[in-house]
This record gives sequence, C-alpha cells and structure tokens, in this order.
Amino acid sequence: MSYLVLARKYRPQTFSEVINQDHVTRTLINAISSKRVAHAILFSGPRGTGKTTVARILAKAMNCQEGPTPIPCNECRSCIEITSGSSVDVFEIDGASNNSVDQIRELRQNIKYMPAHSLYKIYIIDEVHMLSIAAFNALLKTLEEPPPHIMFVFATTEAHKIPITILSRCQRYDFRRIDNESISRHMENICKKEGAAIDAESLWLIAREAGGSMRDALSLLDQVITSAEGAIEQDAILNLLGVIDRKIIFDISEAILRGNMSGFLDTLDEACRRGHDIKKLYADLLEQFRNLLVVKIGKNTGKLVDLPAHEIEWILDQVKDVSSTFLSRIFDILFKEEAAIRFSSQPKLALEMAFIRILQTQPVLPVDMLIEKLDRLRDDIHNNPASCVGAEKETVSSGQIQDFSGALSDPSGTAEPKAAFVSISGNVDPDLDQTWKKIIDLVSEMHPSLAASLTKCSLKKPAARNLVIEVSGGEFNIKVIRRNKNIAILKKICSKFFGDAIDLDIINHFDPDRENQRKTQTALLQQDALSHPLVADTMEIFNGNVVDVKIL
Amino acid sequence: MTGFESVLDQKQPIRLLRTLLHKKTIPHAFLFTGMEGVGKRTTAAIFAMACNCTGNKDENFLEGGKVPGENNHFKKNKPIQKNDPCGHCRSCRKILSGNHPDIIRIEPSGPFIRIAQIRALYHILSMKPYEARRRVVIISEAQAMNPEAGNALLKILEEPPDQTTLILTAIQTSDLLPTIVSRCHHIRFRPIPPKSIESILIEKQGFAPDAAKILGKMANGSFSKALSMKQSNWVNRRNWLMHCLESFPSMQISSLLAFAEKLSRNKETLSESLELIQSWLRDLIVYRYDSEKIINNDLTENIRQASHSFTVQSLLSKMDAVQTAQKNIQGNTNLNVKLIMEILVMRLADRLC
Repeated sequence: MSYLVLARKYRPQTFSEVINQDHVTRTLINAISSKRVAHAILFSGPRGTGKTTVARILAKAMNCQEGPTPIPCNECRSCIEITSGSSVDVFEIDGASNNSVDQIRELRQNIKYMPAHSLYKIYIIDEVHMLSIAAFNALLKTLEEPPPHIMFVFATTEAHKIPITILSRCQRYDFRRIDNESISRHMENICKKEGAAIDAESLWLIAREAGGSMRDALSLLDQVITSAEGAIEQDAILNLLGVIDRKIIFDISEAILRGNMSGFLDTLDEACRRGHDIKKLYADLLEQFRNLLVVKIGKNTGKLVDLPAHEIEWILDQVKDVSSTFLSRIFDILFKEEAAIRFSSQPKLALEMAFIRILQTQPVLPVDMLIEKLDRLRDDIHNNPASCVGAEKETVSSGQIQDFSGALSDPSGTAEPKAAFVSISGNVDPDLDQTWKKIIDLVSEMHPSLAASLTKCSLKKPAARNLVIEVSGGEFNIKVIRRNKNIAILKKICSKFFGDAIDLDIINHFDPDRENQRKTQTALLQQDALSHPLVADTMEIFNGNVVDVKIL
Repeated sequence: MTGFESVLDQKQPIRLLRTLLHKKTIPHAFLFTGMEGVGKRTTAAIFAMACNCTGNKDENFLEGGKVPGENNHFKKNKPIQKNDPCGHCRSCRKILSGNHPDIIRIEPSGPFIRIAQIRALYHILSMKPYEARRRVVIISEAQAMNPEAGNALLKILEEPPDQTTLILTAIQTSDLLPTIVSRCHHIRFRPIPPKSIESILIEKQGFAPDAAKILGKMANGSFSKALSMKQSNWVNRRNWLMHCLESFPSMQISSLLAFAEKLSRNKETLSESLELIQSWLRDLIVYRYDSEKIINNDLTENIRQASHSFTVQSLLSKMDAVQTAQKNIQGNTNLNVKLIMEILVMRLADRLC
C-alpha cells in the first residue's frame, strides 16, 4: 500500500469518531436503534466536515452482519468491503461525473434487483448538486417511493443547487463548520499517533488557516509533517502554509492610515516577492480594516474580533487618532474595488490603485459634527426670526439678509441682488419670474398683443431704478417691444407696479449654444466638402490643393 | 532540463519535493501555484521523472521495501539529491519527450478544460499503469476547468487509485473551487527575482545588458513572459506606445482614432498594450508619491514630465477607463473591439466626458 495522506488514513470508521457533528450522529444513531431510518438522506455542509465519511459509516451501520446497528463492527465482510470501496451492495456514485439523465435511468433499472448479500442496497451519491435538472427529475419518483431494500444517501457542499422537490423528499442533515479548538485537539491526537512533535500554538495556527474544515487542517498538517526536516518550527510553518505575516498586514494598514504611500508600496512589493496570493492579501486587508473599525467603535471587542490580545493593542494604537467615518470610507472603497482586484490580470496594480484612491479621499468631517453645525445655524435663525419669516411682509434691511447668507457660508451672487430688490418695495415677490408674471398680467389687461410678446422675455437683475428686460425669440419680438409706444406703456405699468419711476433697458438675448452650433456646423460643412471623394479625386488628379472653402 | 536544479530560483518548493521523495511520503494530489512561467510545469515533469527513474542506483526506490536510513546511498553527503532523476534512462527520456504512456497531461482545449477530458481521465485511471511505478497526471492551468469538470474531478482527486499522483497547476488558489484546494498538497512557487531573470537573459539568450534589465523588471517574475516579450519586440512597442500616450494632448481627433484603430487591429498584442497603458498610468500616479517605485524606470525623465500635467483624480479615472475596456474585451460580450478602443483613447485624451 502506498502512502496515504492523513485525511484518508484517519477517516473516522464509527459514528463516535466523527468530530463535532453530534447533532447529526446522535440523530442517526437513535434512528438506527429505533429502526426509523429514512430511505433518503441528504448531507450538506462545507467542505471537509465529514459528509462522505458519515455516509459511509451509515452504509456500514445499515448493512453490518449484525443487522442495522449503531456501532458497525468493522470486521464483517460487508463492513470491510465498504471500507475498501468494493462492496457490491453499496454504490458510491460521483454525481459530478455521472450527472446525466442516462445514468439515472440506468440506476433506476438496477434498483429493482435485490441486494447480493446484505440487508440494503445503498446508493451514496456524492457531489449531488452537479446532477442535471433532467437527472434530478428522473429521480423524483424513485426517491419518493423506492423498494424497501433501497436507501439513498446524498452528499453535497451546495444544497441550494438542489431542486426543492428533491429536498422535500429527503431527510436533511446540515453539517457545521468545526471550531478551531476541536480541530487542534484532533490534530494533537493524530500527531501523537504519528509520532510528530508540534507545539500547540502551531496547531492552532493550522486550525485557523483551515477555516473550519477538518480535511483542510489535515492536509496542512500532512504538509507540515512530511516536509519538515527535524524539528518543526513556527516560522517554517508560516512559510510553508503561505500564511501572510501579520506584520505585513499591520504595516499596510499603518501606512494607509498615515497616508504614507511609499511605505505602502514597499510593503506590497515585499509581499509579492514572497509569492503571496494578492487576492488573499486583499481579503486579509479587508478583514484588518473591519477589525480596525470594530475596535474603533469599541463595543464587545473581545467577542467580535478574533485576535490575540497583543494584536488588539496594536490595533488600538493605530486607530487612536483616526475617525470611524474615515475607516468606514476606506472599507467602502476597498469593498467597491473587489471586482477590479478579483478579475484583473494584474491584481497587484489594481490593489495599488485602490489604495491610491483611498489616499485621495481626505479624512472628512464626521456626520455628527456636520449636524451639530447645522443645529447651531438653526438656533441662530430662531433667535432672529425676522430674517426668514418677515421677508414677505416687512421691509428688511439688506444687512440682515446678508448675515443670513453669510451664515450659510454660501455668499453666492444670487443673494445680493435679491436683497437689493426686496428693499425696493413691499409688494414684490422675491422671485424674479413671479414678479415678471405679475407685470405681464397687468399689461395683458390693456394690451394683450404686447403681453404676448412679453411672455417670451424675462427679467434680469433689476437694479434699484433700472429694469433689465431680456428678449429672446427672434428679431420680431425685440422690434415690437422697442416701439416707442410700447416702451411708454411698459414704463407706466412698471412704475405703477413698483411704486417708483423706473428706467427700462431692453437687451437682446444672446444664445451661446446656438452660436456655437452655428460655428461647428460651418466647420462640419467645410470638413465635409474637403473630404468629399470628388474633391479628393480632383486634388489627386490635378495635383492641387484647396485654398479656401466658401459656404454658400 | 534533467534535474531539479534546472528550475530557477525555486529552492523552497524543490526542497519540499525532494524531502517528500526522500521520505517516500508522496501524497496523491499536489497543487502548484505561482505566476505563469515560473517553472510549475517543468517541475511537475521532473517530479514525474524522479518518481519513475530507473537509472537511479537504488533499485528498490519508491517500492517501500527498505527503510531509507538503512540504505547506503542515503548516508552520503546530500542524501536527498539521490532521488533526482538521471535524465538518461528509458523512463526519463520518455517523459522528457512526452511519450510516456503513464504520464497523462491534461491541458485546456480552447478556453476550458471540459468534463469530457475528466471523464477520459477516469477511464484511463480505472486501468493499471502500463509500466510506470507511479502514474502522474499533470493538469495544467487547473483554473480553466469549468464548474462541471472541476466537480467531476473531486472524487478522483480525493481518492485516486493506487500509485497515482495528480499534479494541478494554477496561478492562484482563489481561482479554484475550495473543495479542490482542500484535497491537495499545496506548494507555492515564487516569482523569479528580476536580477536572476536578467542574468539568465544575458548569459543564455545573449541579450544586451540594458535590454535584459528592462525585461527582467517588466516580466513581473515570470521567465517565459520575459522570453515572449523579447519575441514580440516588446521594448520597441512600449516606447512607441508611451510616446503616443505622451503626445495625446496635442493630437488631432483623427490621429487619435487612427491610434485606436492601430491598437485594435492587432488582436494578439491588444491585451498586452492595455496592460502597458495601465503600467504607464500607474507610474504617473506613483511617481508623485515615490519616484523610486515606478516600473518603467528607464523612462524616468518622460514620466516626470508627464506626471505633472495630470491630476491624480483624472489619472485614476483614466485607469478606470482602461479597466472597463479590459473587462469589455475579455468579457466575451462580442463587443466591437475597435469601438471600445476608440472610446478608451478618447477618454485617455480627455476628449470625452
């Protein structure tokens, strides 16, 4: 027998050896001893948590020579055959490579025959999520009411890909991720059996890297044991597993928070030189900024941040003078760049750009501070209600209004003329358009034809005694309005309206868009003429050149 | 290419493999990860040779008959290297020429490795090997397996038949199904340092030292990339491209469009050109922070001049534009490449909002 990796060598052979899946094993044991085992069972859960293993143990338990027993003997013919994978009554089918409807039809053909020498004929379909839709549907009838000697056991990592009709016909058992402590305890036992000396901290490191999967943990442990020459040191493990050194992560977050670009580039270069997976680095950084944020918010830190105490100290030191808004902005930007980093052909470059983007966003004012400022502003206005409520009825001195606009820290040009305008008269609406409408109404009472022309005009910046009327809509309108008779009418009405003598200034509306359009049109026409094939041919035949293009 | 020493600058992975050979604890599945062109496939072939070499003095090698410590050969100075392949026995030569019936190589056919290839592998593996002591299956570019193929491989990857080892090569573990990674013995290959690429280019390929220096730096640690860059006359292309990019602001619209057309016409070099544009933009940005860290550091003077005529914001948005173009071109969306490039060039030249 050639070398077997640890994950295969120490595959549990009884229910009691299965680590940390008590909710599954206990239910199954009880079901077996009370003879209430379902004919279709689905195991789902993350990789390396024991689905296939439990399926095999279940098969052994059902087919053991002593009859269905919670503790298979592992000695009888059936048990040994199942362990070696050569049993004639237990079919372990790879659902991923036998995924078509034809294979299911074949299976249906065969299930009507009785088992060869055991109690049950058991079909274990692994990776069942890869069956095609047609295959699933072909299985439905059989799965609902199989012959009494048939049992189905499905195992999958992706239960959501299985049709709901299949799910409802199965008893479903969800496997949990295995916690780090159980993993490291199990590895400790294996190390003892293998005669390898690895300290507890290294085991914990491996367990953390495995992410709740026992097979991952054992593969890693295998690598560590087989590749080590002599004593197994933690540094060697770090290096071997490709775990990104915590120092690199902390250096990068430090550089980002301090805005130290060259420090960041240095660290990233170093990480690349060591052959670290950039996407993994990105994931680790994301987690780091999450931890920074959680520590900064600072509630229940010990439970939410899964880090040793000295690293939390380190984090606290880093976030001392950084606002949580800035941190969450960094987090936001990093998150948005995920697609760019994941699908980029140069992930390193994408990561660099993400961080430059972060450096571009300066720390902003926190929202609460902004709200506070707004509150203060509101209080100011309340203390001085004349400035906002009285604008319509009372005459307000322009000084006060400017104060108001100054408080908004927006001394824009619009506020000032409005203030001056308001001070002219009491019955004036602050809005220019409204005023103009009122004037037009007045005009239309006596001179409807003039009013029609005026609707196309607008009021511009009325100074104290001078109204500027801008006329748009062509030459005709401006001619009509400029007639002496009409100007006199307008003056009269405006004076009446504002209660004061008023000068009128009528200007033509200049439309920059139209002007530009005309120019580009000319240019286009010229271009067209020049590139016309006839012109080009002529130039080529007569060897001439174009002196000028005139537009007719 | 005969022994492990022919693989450049991968001391750690090779030491690991030698230890495994020495201890005779060869796992059933390897995953080699690392950038393209750092020697993953070469190493896999050499490992296959080492497993099957008959020229080796130790007849019982790998049969598990003897305890290594008792064997005379292992008591010498460098016992581990005794397991290196000889390179001239029957088996080694067969593997070298790719004729060995028990060394199965699976490569993407088209963009993917398809399930039919994996099924064929199942069929082959269901039979005993012809002559090899250890059958080796080399699946290169495993990230190209489509989901069906990847899932189909899972069962055999977990428990392959006796005396069979599968070697998968990929760029990054994150491109593979987690269920595949968890079944493999993972070995990381590092990028080759620019210095050693440089020296090999000078010694073995007869390069001019300064050209070798640029290539060494630009190859990002991949030797095969450096070689292909040489073949595609890369340095000249880069210089031309950068020159065009620099003169964008003063170019007519028509010549910009001509430039876009020129880029899009050459489909093979298009993605490389886009990467070049990215590296140029990156340098412009990075130069402001740290003038030492730029990639094209033979063109420092040009970059210094150009970097002052743009704001970082606008450079970043240009970078986005390149990324969008890359995504559209790679995304198999059947978009008109010329149009994409025209839009990109307009964006780069700030003629499009």
